[in-house]
Amino acid sequence: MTISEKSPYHTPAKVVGLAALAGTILPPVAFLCGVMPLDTVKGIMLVSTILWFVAAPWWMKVD
Amino acid sequence: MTSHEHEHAGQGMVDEVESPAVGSEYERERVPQRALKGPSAFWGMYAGEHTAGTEFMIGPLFVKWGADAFSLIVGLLIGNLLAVLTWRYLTAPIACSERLTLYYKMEKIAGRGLVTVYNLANGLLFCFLAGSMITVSATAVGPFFPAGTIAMPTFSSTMPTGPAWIASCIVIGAAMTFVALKGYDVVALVGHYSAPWMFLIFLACAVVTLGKLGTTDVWALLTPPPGTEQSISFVGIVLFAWFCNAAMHIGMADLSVLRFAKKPSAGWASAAGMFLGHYVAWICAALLLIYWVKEKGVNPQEGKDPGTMVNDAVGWAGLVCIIIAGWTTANPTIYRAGLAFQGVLPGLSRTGATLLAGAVCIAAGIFPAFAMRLLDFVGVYGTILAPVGGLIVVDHFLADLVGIDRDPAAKSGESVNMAVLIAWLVPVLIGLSMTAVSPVNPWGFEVPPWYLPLPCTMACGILYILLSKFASGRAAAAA
Repeated sequence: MTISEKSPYHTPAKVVGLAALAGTILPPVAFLCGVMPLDTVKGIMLVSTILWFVAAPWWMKVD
Repeated sequence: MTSHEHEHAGQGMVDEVESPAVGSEYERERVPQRALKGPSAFWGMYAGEHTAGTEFMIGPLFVKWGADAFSLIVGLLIGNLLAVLTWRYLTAPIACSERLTLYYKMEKIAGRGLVTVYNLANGLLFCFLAGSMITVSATAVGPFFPAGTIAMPTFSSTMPTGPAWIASCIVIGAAMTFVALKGYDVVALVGHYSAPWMFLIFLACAVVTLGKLGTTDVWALLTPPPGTEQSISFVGIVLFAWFCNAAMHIGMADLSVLRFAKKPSAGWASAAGMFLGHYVAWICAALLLIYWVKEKGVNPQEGKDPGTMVNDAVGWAGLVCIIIAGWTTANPTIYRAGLAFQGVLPGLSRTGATLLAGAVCIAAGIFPAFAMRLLDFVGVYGTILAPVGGLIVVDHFLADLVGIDRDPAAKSGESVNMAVLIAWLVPVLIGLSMTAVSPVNPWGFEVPPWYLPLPCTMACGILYILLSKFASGRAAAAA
């Protein structure tokens, strides 16, 4: 995969995409550390999933 | 399907079986210099292709078989490393030297008629593989409904669990088939976009599971309780990891992918698929079942369906992951199976061939036996298809050395090279007769199917040399 630099949405999409990936893995880590309840983890992961699929097409380009 | 593939539809199976995922151009010619791609093109592709919904089945199946921590952590590491080395030092060098698809190279060696046989075998095996993915995806439907609405299959399930289960499989399989009919590109894109997120979902499942179990000692968790019968050994795990994609590396199916690589070093990209999908993801999936065994009293021999376990760990994001992971992998599989069927039945339209493939996949998906015996199935898959790679290795590296023709069918124009047919069938039939999946086993012992791809491939190559020399000797004597 490469990053498309031409789209005006590239930078915002990249920020949202990276935040979505962080929102997919950091809440489980917070649960493991005992600082976040599981229901909250599941909710954040679902929102992150939606954000990822919104952002990824604007950010990632297929070779 | 791209317009390019439409143009090629009906020209013959060699053109048609080429997957658009790996570039549908240059099916009957060397890939030109200008079309070559750098290594970055392959890393993402391998990572996405080998992180599929079925990974949620394979990890728990290791738990069922009592695999110990050393086998899982070290055995999978070694097996996957061997798979990567095979891609790097066997498949990629041949791909970068020949720059032809497997199908065209095989046609040159075996003849067009035998490529048809290969396609039929490949198409049917693809259908069963896609069926397993439909089964796994269908388990993600259950948690969306009130508990008990859909009876979920267990490891011991072979028959459909009820009307609701059948309906789930039909709906999911029909949706996959419909998308396969409409086109491949969207699914390929979704698969591409999904890869990093999907891997993190697998990882999240494991992290949450560790949180629920209140420990980060993965080694201790992966150690089965004392007295657990170990049905798969350390060597078995190594060989399974090495050969679960035997058709792709020693079987040379990935010639079609790696022929676009600038250098054989692109073969290292397979490490992304092996170590993310077949190492981390399998261990993460195994931890899911271990939690259910330890905390909920589930019998490891019965297991728990992936949908329920993933929903319990990470919620709807996980269910979306199972469906997308199954969909993005099953869809191209249905598409490829359709192309293979069209190659065998040239009168069949693209729509008809895809519908036929989809119907076979749905039928296979309804019966959980294929998914629940996935380890056996991928072993059988490799045993049947990998020996073709032995022919190509002999043709590429050894033909001049041992004094047999390179690309003999291309020179003679024959449709079926009998030396190839015999060299392929004899080891495969003998090998399969030693497995538990064979209805007849005259040997008095059983061999797990994933032990067989390498010996069958080597036997195929040796037999091919002997039979080719015998045939050329007879031809010389007759002349």
